[in-house]
Amino acid sequence: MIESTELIGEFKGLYDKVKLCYQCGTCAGGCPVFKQYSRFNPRRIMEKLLAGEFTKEVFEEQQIWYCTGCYTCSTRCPQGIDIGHIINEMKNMAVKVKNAPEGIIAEMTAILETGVTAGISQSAMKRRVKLELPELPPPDLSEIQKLMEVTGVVAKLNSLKEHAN
Amino acid sequence: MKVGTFLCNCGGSLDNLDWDELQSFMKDKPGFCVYHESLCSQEGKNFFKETVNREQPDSIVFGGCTPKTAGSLFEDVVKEVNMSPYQMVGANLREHIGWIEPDKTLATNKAKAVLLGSYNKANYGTNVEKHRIEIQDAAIVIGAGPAGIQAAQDLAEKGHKVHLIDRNPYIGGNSAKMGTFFPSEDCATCMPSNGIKGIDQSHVRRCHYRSAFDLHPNIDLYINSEIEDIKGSLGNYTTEVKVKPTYVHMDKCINCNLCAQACPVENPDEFNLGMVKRKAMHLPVGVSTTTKYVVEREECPDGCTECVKACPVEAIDLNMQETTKTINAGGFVIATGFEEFDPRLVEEYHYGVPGYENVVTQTELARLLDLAGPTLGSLKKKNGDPVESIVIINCVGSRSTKYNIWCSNICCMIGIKHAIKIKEKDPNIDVTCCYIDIRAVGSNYEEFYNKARDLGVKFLRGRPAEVETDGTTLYVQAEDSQADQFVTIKTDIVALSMSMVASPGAEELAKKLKVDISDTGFFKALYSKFKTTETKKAGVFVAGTAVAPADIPTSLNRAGYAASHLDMLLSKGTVEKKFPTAVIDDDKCTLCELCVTACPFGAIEVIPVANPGVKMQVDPVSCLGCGQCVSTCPAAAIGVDYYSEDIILSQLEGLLYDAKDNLDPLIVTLACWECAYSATDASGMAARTRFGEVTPETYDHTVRILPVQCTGNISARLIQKTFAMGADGIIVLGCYEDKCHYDSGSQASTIRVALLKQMLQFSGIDPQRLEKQTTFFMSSDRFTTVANKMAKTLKELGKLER
Ligand code: SF4
Ligand code: SF4
Ligand code: SF4
Ligand code: SF4
Repeated sequence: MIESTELIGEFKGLYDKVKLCYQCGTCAGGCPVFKQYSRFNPRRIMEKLLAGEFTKEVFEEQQIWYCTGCYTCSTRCPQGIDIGHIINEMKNMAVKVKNAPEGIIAEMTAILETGVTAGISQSAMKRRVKLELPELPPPDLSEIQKLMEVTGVVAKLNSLKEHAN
Repeated sequence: MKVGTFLCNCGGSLDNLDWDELQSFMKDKPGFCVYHESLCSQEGKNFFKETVNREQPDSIVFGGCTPKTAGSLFEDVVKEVNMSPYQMVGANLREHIGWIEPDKTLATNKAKAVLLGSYNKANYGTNVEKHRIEIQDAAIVIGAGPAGIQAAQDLAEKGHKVHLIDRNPYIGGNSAKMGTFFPSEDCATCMPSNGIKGIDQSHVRRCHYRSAFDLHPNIDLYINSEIEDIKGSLGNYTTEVKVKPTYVHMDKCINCNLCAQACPVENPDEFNLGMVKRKAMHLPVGVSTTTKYVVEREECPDGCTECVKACPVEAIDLNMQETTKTINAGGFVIATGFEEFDPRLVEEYHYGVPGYENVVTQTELARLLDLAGPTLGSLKKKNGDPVESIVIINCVGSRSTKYNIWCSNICCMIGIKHAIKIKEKDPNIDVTCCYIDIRAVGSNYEEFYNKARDLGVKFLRGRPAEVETDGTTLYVQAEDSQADQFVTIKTDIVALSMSMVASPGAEELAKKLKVDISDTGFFKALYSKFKTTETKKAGVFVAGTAVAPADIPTSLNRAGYAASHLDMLLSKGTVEKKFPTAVIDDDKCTLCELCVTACPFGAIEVIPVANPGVKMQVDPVSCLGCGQCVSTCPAAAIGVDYYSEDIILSQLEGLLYDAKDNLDPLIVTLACWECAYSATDASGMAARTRFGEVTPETYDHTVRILPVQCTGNISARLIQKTFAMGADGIIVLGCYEDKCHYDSGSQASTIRVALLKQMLQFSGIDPQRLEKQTTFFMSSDRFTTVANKMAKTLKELGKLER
C-alpha cells in the first residue's frame, strides 16, 4: 500500500478504513458479480490493498472493472468499509493514469458511437414482439454525445486511446 | 510552629551536594536542622526517634530520598513518635537533585530551594483531618444471575447480610434460558456450592431446585423487584426497592402446580418462544423451584378465583399490592448482566420478518434444545416440522464498527455448544457454523471446538451476506473464503450468535449509584488491569457481564473478586479516612453550584439550611481530595487539606526563593502525586546509573518540581500566581487523561492549560511558557523531553518580564 499512497495521496483517507478489513467475506457473499464469476472477489481486492498491491491490481490484474457499482458490499460490510466506493476510486485513478483495459475503452467507444454498449440481439427483438412489447426507439445519439462531451468522458476516452496506441 | 529538618546523605550517595552549606542555610530558620549519613538505617531511625522525642517538633521536613520512599520507610517510625505521615513533608534531594545534577554549585542551590519550599509547607501546618466511617454490615446484590448468586453466596457465607434483588420473577437471569453451559456441558441451572469438600455434603455444585440458597439465613431474596432510589455513600447506603406483586407468597407456596391446573386462562409461553402455552398462573422457569408460581394478573378474567380455591396451603393472594422496601447496606455488587443485541438491526438476516420465523437467536435455539423447552429438547422448526439442517452464524453485531466494536467473548462457543448438542442427538442433521475467526480462548475451548469437528459439524469461513427464503426453506448466501467460492446453503433453521450488550436500564441504575457507564454501555470498572470489579464509587462493585461480555467462569470469578473486596470493607465495621478532603469556606461561597458538577465522585451536595436557604456540603467519605472542585470554584472558596492554595503558594515561595537573583529562567513543574511525580522520580533513578552523563533521563537544573494531589487541583489562579512569584515557565505534569487516578482531573487540566495558553498569548506572554504533559512512571522521558525543550526555549526567550 505504501507505493500507492505515494502514488496517489488522495486515496489515503479510504485506505485508513481498509485497514479494518478482517477478510470476513461478507462483501463477496453479497456481490452479484462474484456469485457468477468467482475470479472477481471484492474481498480479494481488499486483501490486495492490505498487502500493498494497489498498482498490481490497477495496472496488471485489473479485476476492478468487473464491479457493477451496485454497492451491496458497502451496505453489508460489518466494518463499515465503503468497498464499492473504493473500487470506484480505483477505477478513476486507473483512468487518471491512462490505464484501462481494452474492453472498457471499446465499451466507451461503442456508447459514444452507437449510444449502447451492445446492440439488442435479433432473438431479443423477436421475443419482444412475442411479448407484445413496443418497438424500442433508437438512442438519441446527439444527446448522449453531448452528455459525454460536457462531462469530460470524451476527453478521458481520447487520452486513454492515445495512451493505448 | 516548630519545624524540625532532617537531612540525609543516603549513605553518601549524595556527596555532590554541599551538606555543610545546606545545614547552615537551614539553621537560620526557626526550629532545628540535623544531618545524618543514612537515616533509614536502624541506627539512623533511632537517631530520628530520639531527636523527635527530645525536640518535640510540630512538623518535620525530610530532606533526602523522594517522599514516596521516605513516606513508607518512615511510616512506622513516624507512628511511634505519635505523628501523622502528613506532618512530615518531603524535600526530594535525591531523585530530583543528587542523582541528576553533577554540578555541585547548581545542585546545592536547587537543594536550598527545594528545602525551603518544604520548610514553608511544614511551617504552614499540614495535618489532615481524619474521618471515621461506620460501615453497615449488609450488602445489596443487584441481579440474581450466576454472578449475582455467586456474589450473594460468598458474602453470605462470610457472615454478611445480603439482599439479592432481581427484576425478573425468577432467578438465573439469562442462564435460566440456556439449558446447558459450555464447555462443561452441564446444566445452566447448576450453581456453585459454598460447601467445603470433605466437611459437608454439598461440595462442588448443586441444582437450583435443591440448592435452597435463598433459605440461607443471611440471604434475603427479592424477585420481581426494582431499585427505585439510592442515597448515601460508602458504608451507609439507603436503598428503596419496589417489590412488585407475584400474587403468591413465596414462603408459603409448595410448588404443587394445583393452581396452574385450575387456572382457566391459556396464553403463549414467551419463555419458550411462544411455541407452547402456559397458564396465567405459572412457574416462570419450569425447572427451577427456587422461585415460585406467579400470576400474570392482567390476563385473569374478572372475578376468577380458581387458583385460590385450588391452593392447598393458602399461598395465593390476588389482592397483593406493590410495596416499597427500604434497605440499609454498606455496599453493592452490581450483577445486572447483559442482553442479546437486537437481531432485527442486522437487516440482511431478516430476523423477525414474516416468513423468516426460523431465523432465531442462540438463546432461542437453546430453548429449542432444552429438555424443559417447548420441543422437549428435539430440534424442530417453529411450526413443529422436523429439521434436516441448521446454519449457525457467528459474530452477529459483534466486532463491527457498524454495530458493536467488541468481541462478545462467548458467541463462537455458544454456537459450537449447540452444534455439538444437535449432532450428539441426531448425527443426520447437517450443521454448518459460519465464522470470521473462531475464538476458542478459554480453558478447554479448543478441545471443545475439535469435538464439534469430530462430530461432523462443518465450519465455513465466511460471514454470510444474506439469508433469504422461498416460504418454506431458508437460503444462506456466503463466500466460502477458504475456497474463493460463492455458496448458497439450503437450511431449515438459522441461528444467530448475537452480540452481548448491556442489560437495559444499566444507565439509569448507574445514575442512581453515581457510577460511570463506559463507551460500550457496560458499567465502567475503575481500571482495566486491576480493580476490574471496582467502580469509582467506594463500596460499589460490579461483577459478571455487567462490566463486560464474558463466559460463565469469568463472570463467576469476577463475582468472587467483587464479593471478597466488599467483604474486606464490610468486615471492618469502621474505617478511617486519612487522606486529604475538600473543605468549603461558607463565607466565601457564592452558591453557584459549579463545584457540584465538577466533582466526578458526586461528593458535594446542596443541602438546605435556614439561612441563606442552601449550602454546599462535602461528603468526606466520597471526597478523594482531587481538587477538581477547587480549580472550578470561581470564588476560591474551596481548599483541599495538605494541598490548599495557601500551602502550595507558601511552598512555591521557597521553591522560587532565588528567582530574582538567579540569571537563569526557572521552570516549575506542578506534578500530580500519582504517576506524574513517580515519573520525575524515575528519571532520577535512571540517571543515577550513568551519573554525570547527559542521558534522555536527565533534565535541566532550572526545573523544580512541586507535588499536588491531582492536576485537576491546578486552577487558573494558581498558574497566574506561580508566574507572578517568579516562575518563567510552568509544566503541568499529570497522568494520561484516560488513566487519571481521579477520573477526570488530568483531562480537566489539559483543557484548562489549552485555554490558559490562549489567554497568555492575548496578554503578550509567549504560550510556550506553559505546557501540559502526561506520563506514566515508566515513561519519564515524556517529562524530561518537555522539560528540556522548555528550558531551551526559555533560554532563548529569557526571563519573564514582570
Ligand atoms: S465485508 Fe468488509 S471486512 Fe469483510 S472482507 Fe469485505 S471489506 Fe473486509
Ligand atoms: S459494488 Fe461491485 S464489488 Fe460491491 S457488490 Fe456490487 S459489484 Fe460487487
Ligand atoms: S476534592 Fe475532588 S472528590 Fe473532593 S469534593 Fe472536590 S472534586 Fe470532589
Ligand atoms: S464552586 Fe465555589 S462558590 Fe460555587 S458553590 Fe461551589 S464552593 Fe460555592
